[in-house]
Amino acid sequence: MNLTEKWQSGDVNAFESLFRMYKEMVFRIAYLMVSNEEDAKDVLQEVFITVWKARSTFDPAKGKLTTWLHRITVNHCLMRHRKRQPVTASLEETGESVFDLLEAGVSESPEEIVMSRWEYERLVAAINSLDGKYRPVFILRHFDDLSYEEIACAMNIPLGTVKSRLSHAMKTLREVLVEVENEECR
Amino acid sequence: MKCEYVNELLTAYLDDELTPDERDQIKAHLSVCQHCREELKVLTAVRSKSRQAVRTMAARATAPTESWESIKQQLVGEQTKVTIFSLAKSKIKGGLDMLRRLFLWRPVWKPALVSALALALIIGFALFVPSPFGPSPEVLAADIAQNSPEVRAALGGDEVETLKVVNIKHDIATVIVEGKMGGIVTAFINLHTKAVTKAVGGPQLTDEEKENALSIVKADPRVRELLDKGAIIDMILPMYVHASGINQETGEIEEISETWAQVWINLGDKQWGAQVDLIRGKVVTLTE
Repeated sequence: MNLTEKWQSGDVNAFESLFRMYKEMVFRIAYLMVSNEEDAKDVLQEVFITVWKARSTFDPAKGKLTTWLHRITVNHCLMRHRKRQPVTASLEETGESVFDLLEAGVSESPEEIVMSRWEYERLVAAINSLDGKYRPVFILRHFDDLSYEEIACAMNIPLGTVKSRLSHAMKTLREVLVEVENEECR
Repeated sequence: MKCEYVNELLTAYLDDELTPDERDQIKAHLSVCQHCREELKVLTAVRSKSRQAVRTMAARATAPTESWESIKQQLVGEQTKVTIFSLAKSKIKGGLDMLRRLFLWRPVWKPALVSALALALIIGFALFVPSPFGPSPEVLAADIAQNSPEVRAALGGDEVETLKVVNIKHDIATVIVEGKMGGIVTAFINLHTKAVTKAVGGPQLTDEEKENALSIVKADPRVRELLDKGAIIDMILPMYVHASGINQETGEIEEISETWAQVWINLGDKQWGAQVDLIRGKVVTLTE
């Protein structure tokens, strides 16, 4: 019996292994979607409770586990999003400078990207203000590196819609960066 | 090829998500259009910076270490509640009359059920208020069932978690009892002698019945439509159906006492409950 078969049959220890494998992925997507750690923590729990309750409905032959997890995570985040006013992430929420992280080299290739703090903060605010249609596709693409087809599958939307939503999101962010550039030139 | 069309596809071009034909067309256009080359350059920078920003934001977040313990506790809670049942409105006319005598002792209903049972709860609460003439028959029945060694034995020694009085007729009360470990027992109580006359286990769904319920709901066009939209089947629970009414064909009073399944379906923030008649193989109601 493999791990999936074990947790699907109700083995809580196997489910704990699954949780440990995917908790960071789920938590980070949730955090990017809901913009604060408290809500992301709640989403993390809701997602795994849902996975447990719906375990008999997951069919590995029909799709990847990660796609299913993405779908459940996005659904839970959107539920919260609908219930609340959008929250803009406070960059100084923990008292830690986000920019320190940038400088600490969290990037995959930091040498290629030169970004001012002001630019970064505006970009974060713009990403956080993308609405429920655009934000999940943007996050799944640029945080999780999902292909368009995987995003379409995770969000249950047509491939063409993924393409147009990502194009729209990029245009929105482009406007923000052009604006920042103009402000810096003045 | 128009620049407007090319601009729409530049993001997908950067993501390497175009078909080979589209890619060739964009390349050909870029080789002759300075404006679109500039746009590509800008979008390349936007893409890199956005990816960097998203990853930096994500790097701030670390899943809390205590999460698993909290989830585990809830899983245990789910397991003990796996046999929560509900009362369904029978297709037989008049079946609800009996259900109006519902009394809830310690409600453990799913939130979605709460509104449906609000009336019953109010009635239950009213019945719970001590009467100057002694306890109501419902309170008496619930009290006897809760303290009955027969009921406890039928629950395999488990303690009583929930009681529901579903019927009182000729001094005999029918009480459905749920144990803390999720077992369910139907107890018949003689209110005159204040004794449990019979305590039988149920309802429970076998794996085969759960499979059957799943096939029935999946074959229902209304459910199929929800599943096609990305809905997921959340859980399958046994449902005790006990009702009486007049058979419109024969004119005779009939009683039914059956185990059906209740299938919960989630889509976004909405939830549907399908009441599945396992005997007749159909979804009787699908309510949001």
